[in-house]
Amino acid sequence: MRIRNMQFDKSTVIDLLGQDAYDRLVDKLGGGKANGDGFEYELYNCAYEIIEHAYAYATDEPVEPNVYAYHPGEVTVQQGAFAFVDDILVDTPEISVFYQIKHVEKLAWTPDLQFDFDCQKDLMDTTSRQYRLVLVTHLKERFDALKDSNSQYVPDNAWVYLRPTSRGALLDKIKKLMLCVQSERNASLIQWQVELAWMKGPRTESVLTTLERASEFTRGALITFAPTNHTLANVIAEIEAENVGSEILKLSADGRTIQYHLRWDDDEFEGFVRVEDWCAFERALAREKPSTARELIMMAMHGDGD
Amino acid sequence: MIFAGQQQPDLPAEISTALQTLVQYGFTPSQTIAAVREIGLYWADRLASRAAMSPVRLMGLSIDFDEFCNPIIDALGRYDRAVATHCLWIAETPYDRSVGFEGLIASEYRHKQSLICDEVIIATAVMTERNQLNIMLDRAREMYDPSDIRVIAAVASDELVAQSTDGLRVEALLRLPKHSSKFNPNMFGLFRQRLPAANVRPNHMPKTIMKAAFKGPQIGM
Repeated sequence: MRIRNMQFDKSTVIDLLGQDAYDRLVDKLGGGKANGDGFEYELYNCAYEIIEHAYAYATDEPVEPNVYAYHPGEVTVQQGAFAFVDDILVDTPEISVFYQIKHVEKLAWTPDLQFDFDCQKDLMDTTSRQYRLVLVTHLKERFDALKDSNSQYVPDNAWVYLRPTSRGALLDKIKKLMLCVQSERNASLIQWQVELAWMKGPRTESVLTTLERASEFTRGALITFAPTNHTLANVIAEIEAENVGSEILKLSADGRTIQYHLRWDDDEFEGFVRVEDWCAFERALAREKPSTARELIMMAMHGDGD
Repeated sequence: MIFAGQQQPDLPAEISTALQTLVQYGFTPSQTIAAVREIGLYWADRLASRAAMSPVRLMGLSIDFDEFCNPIIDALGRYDRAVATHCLWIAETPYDRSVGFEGLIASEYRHKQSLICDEVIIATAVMTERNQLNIMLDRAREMYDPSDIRVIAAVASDELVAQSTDGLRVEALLRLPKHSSKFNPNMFGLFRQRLPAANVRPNHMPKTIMKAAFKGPQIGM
């Protein structure tokens, strides 16, 4: 059997599930009935996946207890897959998660949903790949009802996730990913920029690629897990807080961006600087190694002072 | 000279000219920044002569912090008022058309941040974008929760001046109506374009802040 990206070829689907199921699968490609809210909610869920996986890797806290946290370059998000459970497909090296996103008030298990989930289960069971089929709702009350439903239409293998759309659900995680000032407004703007970056993309890409696009939109204010030049990493490693006790010091680099959060006396300086002229910056580093965080930031802002 | 907007009555002639420099076409970066400095000094005189003695916090933008905010900080300091400062670096980002300007706070420097001040003064030369004002208001409320916010500017739009409420006053020497063929509708964009290139660089460090934050040996300068 040939499998590419968890997509199955025509003969496999027809042999296993019959012609009717294949016709339904092809019909799904054109998209079902969607309203504006449903579309927005799907975008929100894509951003949710991107932020969850980036946060998981940044903090080494897996998205779920029973999986690993992977580098965002290894996680692919796809909106609209060739599958029965097709709204969003997230692939990590470990597992494929298929999401059916429903932004409807009276969500219940229906024969259609059951058919889709069962067909997808049958297909996936023919592979050795780990998978999960998930129905996503934004309503707590529907979530509780679906989870414990006694309906005859409950599929064999289905999970239900609750993802409320209230602003703020994702903001704490975004704060860990942003390099700029940790304000509420910044976090909600960056969430919007991640959605925008996803919308401007090809709708099938690695989390890292979306993050990089969003980082461009935010003028570098979002972490991209870029490798840091070892000279810079060494300099940062050697810098000590100047007056331990009264000073806090947070200094890190993401590629050519330096994030800082310094406090001394009653002053505080936080944010990030993207080194514009890297050559000049390296020349300055070679000439004189900065011994304090403030000196390093000054050098990053000014290059070699030309 | 073409008349644009409504100036406060009884402004000295040189301030009136400086205001026109900011809103009319055809001025150079050095003329623009000189006008900002002149208006900053004028505001400083007006604010300092008030009898208040309570501590005050001043928020400004990196693009005109030296020229507009610094004279005001100096003047308040001369009258023995404790002044805390807060400078924001705002990066303009892509936005929804309906929103207008949108930006995020890339960095900020907060001096004497635990000083308790009832009053926050937000000072910047051109305050015509609603969202730009909202970014600063949100941040001021998030950080300090002041009872009184005063926004002072050389030029502000009518729309923003009309936003004044009990705890918020928006004051400008020149008010621009919403629509007029006599000035650029993107006043803030025009202003940023005409500032000296160094001022609008994302890494621009106002001299005032460099002196306060980077004491001691300065390498690479």
